[in-house]
Amino acid sequence: MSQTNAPEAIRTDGLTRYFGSEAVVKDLTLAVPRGSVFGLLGRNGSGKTTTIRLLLGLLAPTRGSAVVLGSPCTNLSPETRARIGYLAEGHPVFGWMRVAAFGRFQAGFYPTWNEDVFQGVLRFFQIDARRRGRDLSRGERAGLCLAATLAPDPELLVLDDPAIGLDPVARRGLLEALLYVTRREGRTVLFSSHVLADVERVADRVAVLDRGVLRACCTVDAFRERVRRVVLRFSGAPPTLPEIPGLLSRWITDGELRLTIANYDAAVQRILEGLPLERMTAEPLGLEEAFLDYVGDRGERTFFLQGRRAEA
Amino acid sequence: MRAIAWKELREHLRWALLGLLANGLGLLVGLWPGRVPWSYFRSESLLSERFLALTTSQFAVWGGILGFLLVLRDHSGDRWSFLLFRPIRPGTIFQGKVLAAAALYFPSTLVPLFLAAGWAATPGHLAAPFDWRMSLAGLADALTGFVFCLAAMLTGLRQARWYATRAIGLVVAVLCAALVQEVREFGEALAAILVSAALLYGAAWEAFLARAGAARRPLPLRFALVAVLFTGLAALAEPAIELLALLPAPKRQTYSIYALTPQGEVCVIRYDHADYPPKLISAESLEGRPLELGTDRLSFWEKIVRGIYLDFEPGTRWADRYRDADRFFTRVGKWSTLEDGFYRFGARTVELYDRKDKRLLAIAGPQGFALPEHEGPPFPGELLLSVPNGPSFLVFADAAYGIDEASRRLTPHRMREPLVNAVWEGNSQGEGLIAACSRRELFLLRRDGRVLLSSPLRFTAPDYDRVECSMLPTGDRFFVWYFPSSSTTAPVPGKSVRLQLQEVTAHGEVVRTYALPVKRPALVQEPLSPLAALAALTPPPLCLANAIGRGLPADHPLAACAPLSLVSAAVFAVLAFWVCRRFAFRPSMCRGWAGAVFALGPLGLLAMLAAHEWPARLPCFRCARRRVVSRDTCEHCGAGLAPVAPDGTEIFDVEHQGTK
Repeated sequence: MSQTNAPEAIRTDGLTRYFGSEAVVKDLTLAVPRGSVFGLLGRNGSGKTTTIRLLLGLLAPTRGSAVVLGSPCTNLSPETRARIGYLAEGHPVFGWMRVAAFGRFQAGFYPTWNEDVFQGVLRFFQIDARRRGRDLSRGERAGLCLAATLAPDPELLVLDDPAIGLDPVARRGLLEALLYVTRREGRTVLFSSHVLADVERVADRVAVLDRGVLRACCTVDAFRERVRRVVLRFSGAPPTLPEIPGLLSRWITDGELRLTIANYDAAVQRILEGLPLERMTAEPLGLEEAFLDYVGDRGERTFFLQGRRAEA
Repeated sequence: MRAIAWKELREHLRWALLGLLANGLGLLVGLWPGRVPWSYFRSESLLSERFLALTTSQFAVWGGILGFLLVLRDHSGDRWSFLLFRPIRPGTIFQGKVLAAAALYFPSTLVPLFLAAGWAATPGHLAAPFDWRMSLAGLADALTGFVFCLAAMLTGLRQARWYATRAIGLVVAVLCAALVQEVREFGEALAAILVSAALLYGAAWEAFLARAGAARRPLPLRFALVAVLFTGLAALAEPAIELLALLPAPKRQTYSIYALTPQGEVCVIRYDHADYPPKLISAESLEGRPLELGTDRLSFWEKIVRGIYLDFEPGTRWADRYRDADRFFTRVGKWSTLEDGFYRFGARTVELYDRKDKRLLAIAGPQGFALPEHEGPPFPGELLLSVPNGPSFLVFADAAYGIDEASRRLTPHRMREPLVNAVWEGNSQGEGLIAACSRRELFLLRRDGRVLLSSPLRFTAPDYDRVECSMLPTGDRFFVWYFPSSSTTAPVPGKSVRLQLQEVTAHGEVVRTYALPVKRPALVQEPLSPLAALAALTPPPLCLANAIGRGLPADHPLAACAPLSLVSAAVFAVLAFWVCRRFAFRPSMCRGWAGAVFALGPLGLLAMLAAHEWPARLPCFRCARRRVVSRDTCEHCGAGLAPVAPDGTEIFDVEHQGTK
């Protein structure tokens, strides 16, 4: 199926996109290995959807380049597009179209359309093929879109926030269907999401975008491993902290200082041990906590939180 | 493409059905016999004012609505991405949409139009002659509606930095509709439609590709977009420039004319033509003696003897366009009767219709009236004149015919020699005189055929091209004015031909002759308004077209602006070059745009600004000068991009480092 022997399904080099004078994606350089499930994380407006649209050739980059399945993203041929399955954000379907007609409509574009897969996913989500798009629930619409995305048997799946708006049951169903098909076939999946539990469950690697800038790109385990929370207990009031590389956040609670630090290593440990500590413990972090601390301190402070911190 | 076209067809089918119904209803109203409460005009044919007003407006509106529907329903980000990302080229999706637009638009307009044409062609529906070519005007309007559809698609698709320039496509469609209204032949209208449609199709395709993220679009499509933008801007700016430049009425004109007093005395009248009605300045005899003609603005016109102007050669019929009913027939006879009479130019017969039953009652030829099934031979030659507002009087080359529709009688009046031209001058009650001329003779007739004057033409072409026949109120003295050909045009250097006036008897014998110098309008030059300088902003090609095509005098601001417009075009070309350099365009592109702006003037610069997507310019981290963000290196110092500053929180594993 693969037409190139490149180890990456996607590779970007300095990919940049401006809207007016605002850089929405800034100098993005990353690679998505073949056969991996790659999670694209970031807060709202961090540039995830724009990155996906750039990769799929739906937006022209202002600068830089990207190669998707061996083709430059600015000139994806119909053959390359046929090898990519794209699930757009919001699960768009044509409201007037019946499910069966939707399948036929999509099948008309893909020579490799697998009707069994389409029907199988519809059965999994219990979607009646006679219903119209506008009558489907959000979960059913997501299922229909997933069916239409998987049925062409794509080599690369690009899913833009596939779980958006879904309840936990529908989300679980969507992920299971996704996992079943992708893991079995060894496909490459690039997906963006806000639901960290889902990412933790299915992704091999994650990339974190912060206001268009790539701040992290590694395996999920490495991300969890390298974002540490350290609880420092002092006998008196906590002293003024020296400059700590990779410090993401700090909280003071009951004489304790809780620090979240990226790239925690021996050098950082030595700095911390130099403080008049009573006790120092490290707390394990889940991906969600690690992510929240990672991107939160860069702008998560809402007016409300800032007010509370000022009071403290 | 087929799947996309099917999807669009299915998605908009109910709108098309609605359009079909609305168009059908509109055309029904347009063809409804007689007057409808909200329309002044009576409907008599497919070329009635009411019918054409409806076809023009409703097809344009429907085309525009359909165009917007076809693009705006898929407009939102996610649905747009979903529609666009499929294994076909984006252009194919656009073509599928246009194909669907055509498949939806044409049946919903042409079916009602053909049904209307069929209904009008069926005897007993309209009390007027029918010719299949009468449906060409409606057909042109239907085709123009599709131009509006493409313009609406362009407006909906275009991502313009200047929001207002999105609507330029609609301006081009309006311009196309205006041309379709104005041109003489259907072929010319078709050419205007095809050119407009081709440009708008190309421009909309370009806009679609730009919206679909295509970094490079084919050159012909970009050319089409620029052409649309320039045409639209010119259509908006040119009338505005003209209006502002000419608004202060820079000239006053004083005319001197020869006239006849009721006593037969020749006099010279000077009047100011700047206002309406004209204001009398002086009236005096040829010897210079002042005459009392009254001082108020209108009375002196009432006190001089008015004549009938007659050209030696017949002019073009004023209403001879493909969308004028007068191309096919002209109304004859009294309007107050229960019957409608029409002279059909194609058949050269008079047809009489029952106004109530819409039936053809009789057909008249030179041998008189006959029932429709016993139609006789047609009138010989072309109709020179049909005298309105009274009993029919038709003048042909060989004979004139008085027609009494009520008694179905036809009275021929044979001419001594073939007539060349004939003119009627009269009032709304049908009272007046007919002037007619052959190659050698001039006639003055009443509408009953009685010849009042028959006089040889004593001055003819090429030096003279028109006469004016005057009859004094007593009815026994006639004057014939011979106007030199040059009297209506610029004087020929070294040649002076005089205006000739002859008093003649009813049989053409000369009583008295005057040879008078030609009077020309005396121009009172007023200083040009400063706003006239705006004319220099007119694009050079339009300046040239104004100066040559419209025959404007050299001192007219729009003609005088030609050299200035070249200067302004050069200035704007330099400006365009500078802007292109500033945004680091390729040298060949800078030169190309500068050349285009020199040819098109300031509007070309506006078109350039509107057509491009201009990248942001931000300060370079090394030289601090503004550089475009779309280049890898600074165009000033060659520095790369400022690297994103690490803050120590970056987490990249070995695999990612390998990609750097």
